[in-house]
Amino acid sequence: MLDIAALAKVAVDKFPYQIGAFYGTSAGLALGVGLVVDGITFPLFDEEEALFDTAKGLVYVLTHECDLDNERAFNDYVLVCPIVGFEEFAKNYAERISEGALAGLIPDLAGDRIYRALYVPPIDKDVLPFGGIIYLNQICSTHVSSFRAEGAKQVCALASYAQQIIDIKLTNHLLRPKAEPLPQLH
Amino acid sequence: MALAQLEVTSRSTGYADVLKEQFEGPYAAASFIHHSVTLAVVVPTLQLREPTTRQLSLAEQQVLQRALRASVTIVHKARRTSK
Repeated sequence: MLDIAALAKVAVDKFPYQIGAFYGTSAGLALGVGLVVDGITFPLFDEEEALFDTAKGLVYVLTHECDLDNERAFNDYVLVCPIVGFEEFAKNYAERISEGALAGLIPDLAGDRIYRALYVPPIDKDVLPFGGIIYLNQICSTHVSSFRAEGAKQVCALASYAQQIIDIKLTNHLLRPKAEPLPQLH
Repeated sequence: MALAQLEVTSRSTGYADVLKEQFEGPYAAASFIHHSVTLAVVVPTLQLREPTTRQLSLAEQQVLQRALRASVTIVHKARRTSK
């Protein structure tokens, strides 16, 4: 029997950042970067059908609040990054690969040694009780109305400390110099 | 560049704590240099290098996708239309 709590404890122990400084309240904050919101609609690719399904779940908001201001143009779509539950990940990993390999992966995942993924610590007993995973190649857009839809719920906001960690991770992911030079035209 | 100097350089941008951790962590030079360039800080002693990371295998990426699917509610299943 997979002991998710024990695995999550390893993840928390290996997490190199300050867990207590990671999440804060989202009360009073407008829709924008830093929010963690549940019940949000986004596209999810089905490899068997080779089509996108429509999913509803927990996301981290990436679009800046100024770009979601209702008074401005081009404000109707929001960039989000879905959050994978650690429990679901661990169960699937143990089932599809092995418990031994999972035990080897968790320190690397939680220790922020995986380029495109970031472990995020537990929020509370109801939301990400064992933490979650942000997968940076899974960034997608959804319509802003999803945040006003029934079932959408602001869970919390990342603290500025945590947002900086993700900002650096995103900067490295999206803005590092290309390995192959692009054509230089004059 | 000394870590103390790094902290002074980055403090004005609010990135001091995070940069310090990144500087000491796996991202080390890559993310640090990027921010240094952003801040127009010259860092002559550091070499840009790939951070020491663990890559996800194809099987592990598929697990991540399955886990995401297990974490959400599918509200609409896409089907190909036949014509």
